[in-house]
Amino acid sequence: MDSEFNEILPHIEKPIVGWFCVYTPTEIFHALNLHPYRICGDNEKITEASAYLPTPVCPYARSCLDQALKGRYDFLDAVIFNTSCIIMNALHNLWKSYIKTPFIYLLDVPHIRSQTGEDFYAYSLKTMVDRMSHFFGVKFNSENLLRSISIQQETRQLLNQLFSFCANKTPQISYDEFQTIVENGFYIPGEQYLDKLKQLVKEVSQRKPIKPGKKRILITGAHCSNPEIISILEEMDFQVVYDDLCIGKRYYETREYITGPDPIKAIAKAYLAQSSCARTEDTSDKHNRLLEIIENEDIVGVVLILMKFCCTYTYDFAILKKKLDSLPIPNLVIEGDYTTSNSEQIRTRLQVFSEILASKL
Amino acid sequence: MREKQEKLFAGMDIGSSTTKFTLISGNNRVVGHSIVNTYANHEKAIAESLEIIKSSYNISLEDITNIVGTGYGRNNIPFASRQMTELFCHSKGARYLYPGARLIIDIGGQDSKVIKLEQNGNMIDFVMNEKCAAGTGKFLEAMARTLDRELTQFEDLAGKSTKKVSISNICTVFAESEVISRISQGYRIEDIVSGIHESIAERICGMVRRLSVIPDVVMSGGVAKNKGVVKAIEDILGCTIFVPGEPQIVGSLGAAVYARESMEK
Repeated sequence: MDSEFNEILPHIEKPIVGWFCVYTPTEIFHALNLHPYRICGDNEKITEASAYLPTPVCPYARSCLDQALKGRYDFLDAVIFNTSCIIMNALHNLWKSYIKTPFIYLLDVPHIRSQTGEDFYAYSLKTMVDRMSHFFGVKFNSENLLRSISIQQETRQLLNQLFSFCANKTPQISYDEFQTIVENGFYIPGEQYLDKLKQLVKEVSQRKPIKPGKKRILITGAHCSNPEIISILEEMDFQVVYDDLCIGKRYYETREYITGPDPIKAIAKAYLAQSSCARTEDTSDKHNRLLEIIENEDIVGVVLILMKFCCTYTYDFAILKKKLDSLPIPNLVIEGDYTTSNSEQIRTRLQVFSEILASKL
Repeated sequence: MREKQEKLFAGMDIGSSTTKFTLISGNNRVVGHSIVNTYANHEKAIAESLEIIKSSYNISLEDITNIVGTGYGRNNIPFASRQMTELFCHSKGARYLYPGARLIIDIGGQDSKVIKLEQNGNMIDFVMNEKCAAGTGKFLEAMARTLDRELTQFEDLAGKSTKKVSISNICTVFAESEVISRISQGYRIEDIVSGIHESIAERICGMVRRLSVIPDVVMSGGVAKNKGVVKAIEDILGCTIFVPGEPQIVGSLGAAVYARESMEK
């Protein structure tokens, strides 16, 4: 767990809600006067979770459970799970059985992006709001939610601005540093984080340019399946120009809220319209958007970051890879188990990829 | 013998099992090489390699113009001017020996890889095994231990096989148990060895198919010395595989070639 969060924790007076997936509208927690905390597991060796989740399943889910079993999430008052994939459903069931978090809710997120999907998602969100309001004794208020949405949007805009300082041709901040700033937002209170970002944007904009990586790349996937991937990428002279990750663009991209009388419906619409996760029924629009970005941003290669045993992304990557190969756009799939155990293998693979790209530049 | 004053270039490939050092001359001729065990001590392997080069060819470090490091220990070679991946170096080495090479199968001690080259010799794609020992030299070593035979006997044993025994497990640990079961069921060692070769070949061909087969296919790495494995791969792929006289040094040779080329640039 981040040491900075340990310092903040004693000062958080609101109940803390753990969440996992980017289809969790954290603005709702903010509006309910709850403190959101993103559960990311840890790169520590898994010792407790193997008794409940076997080795050949998602190492991220295993790590989250392992940390929970070790009591590292005992500070949480609530945990919101999503029906992201079968393993996340299993994690929800296990958490309910073995971890004593006072409030647990499984947020059902549709796979299909349609009006029916939106209605279904809005219903799921409303049920969550009702249960949380009842459990924590807080009253849900649309005006509060609108205010929270606006804080969230401003936060995202600032993160996008900061990312442009990292992705442009005369970068002022490394992607590694940017990623750390993004992750800080997983636990720092909303208003405090917003102030921090405002200062950072001002400070970074005045920095001297840093040496840009020679090879402009796009990365795609869920979480970084090896904690050293980003630093190895920069060491190999790559510049991350777009990060289609659950902890990247898909988290901080600005949403389009069409607010009417029912802001929860607006949230459902906005979240389902965001660039899709591999779990959605049809990801072709997302693939096409990535191809457009590759063309517009002078991207020379794509790194597909796969979590070991993740079926959802394995199948989606096969489709995306086929499209990239046909163009052809050099691409590389790298797989990790959420630890640093295969860092040297990853280093070699990325160095080969760098050598392949160097012969084309 | 090399002519006096002729420039020398070298490549050092520190692999998981062995450390290879190859010297070439300015006119691109192989001058000599050494192969020593790596064990867990890179410094010792480096020192032993240099001793052999000194005693066999009377060449010391000072005589060499440029040295490139490769292999998983590439960052531990203090005198290397550059570190290139073993895939890059195997490509260079294979093209030096076979200018028409388009696909390289390298089976080393701890990993196996397949590299696809463009017509001009540049790498376009590659596949490497994961953290697993299946389809590597270590797999064969484990099987030799289980069968109480020397690895060097495997080729002859497989040649005497009359009925291949299928080894269905690709995991080294499970395959070991399977081999033990086959022994207790009374199967001949020769037939089991032949099955082991086929199992490793199937694993490699699965990787090759992810890239497609383009001739010329060249095989490098220590396992290429075992004709039984080479033959099993040829049978599955349905094409000839070129194996250099000393397949273990292809990576270090490629590093030496690159050491020379990079000085020319």
